[in-house]
Amino acid sequence: MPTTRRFLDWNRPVLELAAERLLAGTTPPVLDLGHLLVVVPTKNAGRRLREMLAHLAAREGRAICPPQVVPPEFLLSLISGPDDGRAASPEEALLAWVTVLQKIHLDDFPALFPVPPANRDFQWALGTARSLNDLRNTLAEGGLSIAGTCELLAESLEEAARWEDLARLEAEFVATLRQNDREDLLTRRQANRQSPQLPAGITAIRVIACPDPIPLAIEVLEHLGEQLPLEVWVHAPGSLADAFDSWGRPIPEAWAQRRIEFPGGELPVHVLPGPDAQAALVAGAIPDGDTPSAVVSIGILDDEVTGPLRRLLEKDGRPPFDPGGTPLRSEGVLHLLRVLRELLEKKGIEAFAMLLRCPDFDAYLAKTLPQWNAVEALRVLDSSRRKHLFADLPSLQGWFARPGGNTASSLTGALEVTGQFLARLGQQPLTTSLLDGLRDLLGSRPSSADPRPARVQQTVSEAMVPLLEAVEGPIGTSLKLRASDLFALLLATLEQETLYEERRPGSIELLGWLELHWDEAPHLMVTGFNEGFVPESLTGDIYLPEGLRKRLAELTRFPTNESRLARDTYLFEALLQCRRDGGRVDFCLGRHSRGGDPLRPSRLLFLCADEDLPDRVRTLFRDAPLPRGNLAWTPGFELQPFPGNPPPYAPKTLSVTAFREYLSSPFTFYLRRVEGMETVPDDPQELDALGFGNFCHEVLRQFGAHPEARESSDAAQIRKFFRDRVDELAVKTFGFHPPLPVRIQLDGIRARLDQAAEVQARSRADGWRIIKSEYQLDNPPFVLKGVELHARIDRIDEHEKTGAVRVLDYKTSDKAVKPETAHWTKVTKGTKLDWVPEYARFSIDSKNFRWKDLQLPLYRLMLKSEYGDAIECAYFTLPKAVEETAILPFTELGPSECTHAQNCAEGIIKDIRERRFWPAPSPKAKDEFHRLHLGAPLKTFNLAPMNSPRPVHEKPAE
Amino acid sequence: MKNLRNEMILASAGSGKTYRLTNRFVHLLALGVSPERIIALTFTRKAAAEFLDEILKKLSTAASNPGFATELRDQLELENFGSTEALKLLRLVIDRLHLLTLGTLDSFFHRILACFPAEFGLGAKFEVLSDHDAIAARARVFASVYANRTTEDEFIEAFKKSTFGSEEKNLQSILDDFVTSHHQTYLRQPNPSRWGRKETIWPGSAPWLEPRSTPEEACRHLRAATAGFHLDKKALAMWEGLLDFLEHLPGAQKSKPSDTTLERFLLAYTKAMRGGPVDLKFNRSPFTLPPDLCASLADLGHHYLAFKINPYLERTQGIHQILRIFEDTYGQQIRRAGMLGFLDIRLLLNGTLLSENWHQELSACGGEGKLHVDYRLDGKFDHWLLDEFQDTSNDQWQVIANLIDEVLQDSGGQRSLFYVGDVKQAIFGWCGGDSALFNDIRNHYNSRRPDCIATEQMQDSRRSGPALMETINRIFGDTATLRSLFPDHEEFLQRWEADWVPHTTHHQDRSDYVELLTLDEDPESEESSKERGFAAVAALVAEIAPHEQNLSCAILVRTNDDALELANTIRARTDVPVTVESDTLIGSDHPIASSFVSLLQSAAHPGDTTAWRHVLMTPAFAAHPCQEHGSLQRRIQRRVLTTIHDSGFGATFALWLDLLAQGGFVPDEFARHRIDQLRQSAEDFDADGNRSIADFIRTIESAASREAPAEGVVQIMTVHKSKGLGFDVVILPDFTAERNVKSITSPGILSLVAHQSGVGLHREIDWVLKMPNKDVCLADPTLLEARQKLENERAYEELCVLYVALTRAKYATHILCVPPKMASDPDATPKGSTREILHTTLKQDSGVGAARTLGEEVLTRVYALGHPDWHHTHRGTRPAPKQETRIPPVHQRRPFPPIPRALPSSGADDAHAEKQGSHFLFSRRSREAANHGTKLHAVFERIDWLDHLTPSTLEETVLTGLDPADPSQSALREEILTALRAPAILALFQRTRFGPDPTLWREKRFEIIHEGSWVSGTFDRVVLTAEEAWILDFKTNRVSTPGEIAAAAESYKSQLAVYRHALSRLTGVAPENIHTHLIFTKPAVLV
Repeated sequence: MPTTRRFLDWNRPVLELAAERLLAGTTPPVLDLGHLLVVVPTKNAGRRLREMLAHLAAREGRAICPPQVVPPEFLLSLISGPDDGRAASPEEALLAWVTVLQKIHLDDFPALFPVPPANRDFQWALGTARSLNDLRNTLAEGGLSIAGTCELLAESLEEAARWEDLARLEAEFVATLRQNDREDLLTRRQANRQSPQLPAGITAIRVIACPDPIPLAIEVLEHLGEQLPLEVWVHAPGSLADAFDSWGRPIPEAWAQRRIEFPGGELPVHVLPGPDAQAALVAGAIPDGDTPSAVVSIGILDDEVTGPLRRLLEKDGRPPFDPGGTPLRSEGVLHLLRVLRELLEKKGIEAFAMLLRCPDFDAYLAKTLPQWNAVEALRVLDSSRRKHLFADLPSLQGWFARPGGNTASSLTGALEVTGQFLARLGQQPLTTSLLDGLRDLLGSRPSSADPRPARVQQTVSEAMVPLLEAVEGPIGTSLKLRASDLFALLLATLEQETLYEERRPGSIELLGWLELHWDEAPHLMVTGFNEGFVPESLTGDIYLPEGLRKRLAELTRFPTNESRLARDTYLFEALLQCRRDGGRVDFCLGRHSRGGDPLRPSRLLFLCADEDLPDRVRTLFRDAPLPRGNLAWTPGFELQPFPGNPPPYAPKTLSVTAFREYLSSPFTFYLRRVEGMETVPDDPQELDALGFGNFCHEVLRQFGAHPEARESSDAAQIRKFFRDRVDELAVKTFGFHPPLPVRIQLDGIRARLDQAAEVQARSRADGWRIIKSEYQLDNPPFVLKGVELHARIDRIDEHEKTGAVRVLDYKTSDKAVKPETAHWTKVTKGTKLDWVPEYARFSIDSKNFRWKDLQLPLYRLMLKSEYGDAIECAYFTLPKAVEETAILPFTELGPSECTHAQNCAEGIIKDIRERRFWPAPSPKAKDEFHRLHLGAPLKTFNLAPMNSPRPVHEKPAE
Repeated sequence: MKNLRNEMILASAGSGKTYRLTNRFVHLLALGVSPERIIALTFTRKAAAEFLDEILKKLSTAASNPGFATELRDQLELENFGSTEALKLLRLVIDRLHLLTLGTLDSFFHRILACFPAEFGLGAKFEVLSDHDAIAARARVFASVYANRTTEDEFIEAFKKSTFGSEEKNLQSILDDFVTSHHQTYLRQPNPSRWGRKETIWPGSAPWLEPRSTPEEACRHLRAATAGFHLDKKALAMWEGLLDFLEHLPGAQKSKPSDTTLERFLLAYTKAMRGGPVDLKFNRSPFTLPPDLCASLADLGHHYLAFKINPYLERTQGIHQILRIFEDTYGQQIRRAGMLGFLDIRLLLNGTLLSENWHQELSACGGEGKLHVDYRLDGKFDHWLLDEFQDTSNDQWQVIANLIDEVLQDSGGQRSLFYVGDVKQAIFGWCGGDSALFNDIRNHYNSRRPDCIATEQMQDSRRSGPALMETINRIFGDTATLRSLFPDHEEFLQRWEADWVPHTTHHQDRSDYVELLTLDEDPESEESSKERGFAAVAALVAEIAPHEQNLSCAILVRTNDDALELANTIRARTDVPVTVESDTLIGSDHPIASSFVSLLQSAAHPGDTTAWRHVLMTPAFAAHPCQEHGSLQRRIQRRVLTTIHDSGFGATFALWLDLLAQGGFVPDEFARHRIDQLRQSAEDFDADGNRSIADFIRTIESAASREAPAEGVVQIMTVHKSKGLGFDVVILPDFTAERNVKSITSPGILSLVAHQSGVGLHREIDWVLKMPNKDVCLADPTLLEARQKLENERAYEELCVLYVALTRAKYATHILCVPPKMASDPDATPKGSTREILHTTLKQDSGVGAARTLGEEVLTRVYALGHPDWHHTHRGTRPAPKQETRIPPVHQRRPFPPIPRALPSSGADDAHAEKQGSHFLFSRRSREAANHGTKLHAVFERIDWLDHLTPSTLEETVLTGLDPADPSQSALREEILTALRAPAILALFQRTRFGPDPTLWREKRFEIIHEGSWVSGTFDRVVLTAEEAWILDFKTNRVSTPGEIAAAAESYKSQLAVYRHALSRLTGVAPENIHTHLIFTKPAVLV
């Protein structure tokens, strides 16, 4: 039976014309089109057609039995053979490729794999399998296999050795399927291509406005057309009959020279700087009123326009609807799967932290553990990571499971549950474990009012079913997948999936290029009308370069860039023509991408008469009009100190070191001491400066507290003591195998302590005995201006002959600093003193100084009652340059300096009480509070609450 | 087609380089070359786009303007070329737009690699790493290195060696530094024998490697002679201290003399090496070492040099070892896994990163062992046009060298190379640009075939006027003055002189202007010189008012930070619109962004009190009572983590904005602008589905955005960014610390690139050494030469930067700076800074000292040339602002706007809601139940009528194909049989029950518009008579008790109502005559 072409004149949108014509073919009383198979270009076109039929029926107060509306790909199912379960599903085909790639010797395929992959693992096999599968599927659309391609092109095939390798690999693939009692679906289709099986009840076929069906589908239609009436409806005037082939496809030669006129001679093209401007222009052109969707649809050809446009539409209360859906790969559930895979594969501690932060796992833990507290667990995790620097999850688990470990904390419970959960995921059969695991995990959270999470889960579940069936089938079973492989496979599958949203009332349609033809909005605004987005053009395919495609097209129906250009030229004209008498199309194009990359106008816009071309080129390649911009940086808002109106800050105690912080910067003092700010590192891998110092201090404390060791003047003996303590403490803190960076740091600590042993031995030989170590100075407390000062003095020595007493403070900073340098600085002409309070300045011998630290003078004052006035003070420095290790006495510190220091301390206490933390010096670049002050506290903070007036200071005497 | 010459064009700034390139392109087209056979590559996408724009402009103008076509014909020396031909070529180019290869070198390389992944050891796909991805990748590699027990000891040893055992804190930052600074050097030269090896650096040995006497002997000789030096006590102590120190090296650190003493000693050593005598001075006591003692001093110097240099050798070896361990893992885990930086792509393609066994050369036509680029790229490139060639790196050249070699070897004259650039604008040496390639290529090919590549100089400026050009010639042509500023850098000066050609201008009659203004230091001022200088610039900009005069104006600075600071100064002090053409870190420069980061950080790390207190200080919570902060944190943490997980960071940012708004925050215009940028960045991040808070924070904090270009504004940019651009007016402020271009202060590793003679264009790193201090380098000729080479390169590049900055203006250049130190101190040693160069070369007798008031500052006009009132005679060249685009409204409406779609079973149907739940979705049993339901429906669909039911007919008609031996099928069989045995159910399958001629529908789809929604549904079974209809719906619910059945039936009520309505509309049967039935198959109950 010959096929019939019918032309639906393109003076109206194809959707309306097609629906009306279909409806006209029904016979009362029932509007029944159930006997028809209608082929339309896309699924969404089908949806719109059925919706339009429903509307037309409703106009007459009726409902309708729709035809079976399908995209061209559906026709391939008609040649897929019987539903006997033997045809390999796409998922099984993928697994078969993986099997082949894992099995073969790559050396046997030198042209295909000239360089061996770095890791020939499951991931590599999966990625390569996908690309080979894609190649086969592409060829199959043209009715070809790899071997068939080789045969077809024979000697004229470029890179023949590579194609031979591919063909041999294909043979291995088919054999693998066969060995597993599966048939290659593509081979089946090849075999059945001449005898398609129609669904029951279909008595006629209509192919409507399909300008580019896949070649194999056309072959199926050809055979169907021999069995029953088949009409091809072309959306174009009959006068253009010669420009289409019998299947309604634009003929490339006929469209190559096509010249397209815009209605009214006006060029409805808007050249704009970038995606934001396109979005703004389009959003601004959406009419007011209740149903702007009755007027407008928007074409999105450049994805970069989507984000800003969606935001603008939502802001204006015009919900966008994208029938093309959004990629599932960007959903949180995939993140959860990735985290689980990471944990199964690498047992990373960061992955564990991420798992704890997943709300599904949080809910799962809450369900499993009666006392679960996520905030506490994460706090404990961070603090123990910082202290013990665990390399991985097993080390963390081992630490908490050790005898005497904290079993009560939420984290301990979470570790146990996580361990059990991961173990469960690894149990055979893996598919059951996976399903059960996901069911328990994803079912833990109460369902939300937002339908989206449920839709995500449903999409995941639907995509999983065929995959799990494939894994449970013979091919999957023979692969012997590990749990992490199964996750990799699942993720690779889910990442290809699309999440479809439901249209909301009044939604503005956001449509892709191929959908636009089937939209009937009077006003179409097409964004991203740039070369590269339209016309579609494929270049750089690793297997099928355009040269090869052209050769295949000469021999088969293979699509080429020319055929796509013809299709897109036709679609472009059709969009314009069907709105010529009632509507409008606006094309927007950007000159730059968001990243600043230049873009070109689409070639389609130049299909004008030659005499118009120079002007058209000048117009469309012109610079886009730019906004007039002049926005100076403003902070937006100021941070409010003392949030939540707390009671005044009136500390009853202060540590001696607090004074150094205030003297360094009252502002930083406020942040650290008043607000209690402490920063947590993200992923600690080594000891920070504090941890490094604490470690050294602990060793030295033990030495000072050891009645025998501390008496030694033998450097070797002391060294051994230090080394033994370092080793013990290291095991206690980091386990038997500390992380590599810590090993290096421990070596550094050993080197410093080795040298300290020499110094200590000499000190002891000189007659100095340790009498106190880590001496807590709080009984009785030393009170200054009503505040108790607290200090833990590293060590106190007494000279065995003279009875002299000295206070030592260990310093492990990288550079050895003399005590006087650390405590005060000389004030010179250039010293910036604008923020330094008067009490922090003092003069000696007509020279001016300012305090930087009060530690040793305050120690002296605090110890006065116990040891009198003649206490010596010194630093025991353990710097990086170990030859500079020394006990550095603070000889300049005398009673008058101590009095100055006391005045200074009292001044600070007063200022603290009066909440005076400003003025302060400019913060150092990128200090730990940079995120708050951004280097400019004057602009980012409301400083008034911490800037109570202070008596005017006189300038220090010159 | 006539034979084409290969050409190298040396084009000075503004001389019409792009014009020549586009002419070449048009010329090739006019000769009949297909556009896709021409490949034109440059360095930025912007430049490539401008190139195309220019070609199209040229052709479209020629096509519509015969006069211009004739002009073009003459320029291109064509015989037949007019508007008709131009139009044809225009059509040709437009039609082949998609086939043109006009782009950047790197994008071309990317394209090649994408076509040959397997050939370079990659999987099917690869991705180019963004900056933050690269940081994350590096962290992953280090984590692997740390976890690798087999290399652990080696790594620790290497680390200690590399730091000479003196570093143990901030390990990660040191390692990061090694990798960022030196990984590229390692990739280019991985051979350990080139890293810190004496035998490679000093191949024929060095004097300090072979001392003739021991330190003890040398000191003995010198001490013996000391009495004769007549030193005073202090000088004697210093001298003896020095000898003691040198004698006991390396163990005498405590008695180390001062750095000055040691520098003096090394100076004496270099003189002693020349034989002496040597004059020394300690504590103002001079003395002379006679030549016989110089040998001893030299020997001591040898020992000291060995003591100083050996650690550098060792450290360099250690660094190499670390880099090797890092690279071993990086190559495996990152690069070969398909995550590549642009450098990786180049090094893969040019063979650096692959074993020689595997590397194949790129070739246009394939062949033995060669990769057929033309075939896979779908393009055959006969004509190569390379722009800005001075910026091409050796790595890049090596990729295309073979392809170009094929062109140049082709003697048929049908293929060609045309490369253009200006070595005086070689300002990208710091990122690999190798301007020496320019001449080397020509020399290489011309040595093989004379005149293979022709050379042309272009020095006639089409941009700038006579005063500007004269100023350029004064500065850059005054080699005598330059020599006085760079007395020790002859190599650089010779190179500059060789490339220098006096500039001329095409606009001889133009009035233009240059001035150099200095701002004196003011010790009384509370503002820094920079603040004052920037204020003066703001005043100058306001004075020029370029936006009012249609002038394009640029302010060129050296750093992006200066650009941002200056922009804010101008915005604060004037109404002149400005835009900064540099990247702004939008995620870390504003309270909205940084507080959002803290919100995320506190959710991820509840113990991070810095983050949480930060959040509390924002308007969102500043008023929240402090007693409730604990519970607030728990609540917010959960909400944030849930939003991140379910909806992404973009939505979480929106949540943060809501919270801020609830706290009373109303964003100003700038904040709104920044909010849009941040939202977009967050949504871009979300596209990958990554929900890692740490990754997001890293990404957002490094997210850079360039201010959108705007109309009528002053553009502030770095000199580097301004390359290739021209402006009516240019302002060059320089108020930062004076750059001492002759001192290399922190060079990291010194790496030398050596040109190897006889191998043509092959370049290789000869050796690598961590640079010792300057005094040590001065004492060793090899190190001195290496250091001077670096200094020469740096000085050359600095001069290039100045050249670029001064050649941007069309009409006026204003240079503002503080005076160089040497201006106030004539004895000061010149630093070779740009300020010194300007002051020295432009020194004028007249006009000096004239005051120029700019705002509150009074500056000194040190130099001026041309017409200060030039703008009275010129209209600006900035294009007039274009009209804002608007889309006119459309008044038509579509008759049936799209509406939401509903399933008949949705809504009140609890069973449906249950099916959405994860317990249903991820349950094997529910999957089986769903399959069961589908199969059961299929069986019922097969049933026509069952009026004469017998076991055998049932078996034949209904149960055919269901195997009783298969447990799943037998259950299905049983369920169907049970249902059909129920008389009430069976009756509905008996035709006779419905009268004479009922119509039967099975699995019949319908569409209806119902209550504002479009409903699609399927009737399982419908029986129609003339007046009545029956709807049967099969349900496979696992229900059994009457209560369960009733509840289930209730849940389907709304569905049946829709069905009834639909059937009525479909058939015209009145709703009340439509009977609906649910058949629960398991309990065999009809409802």
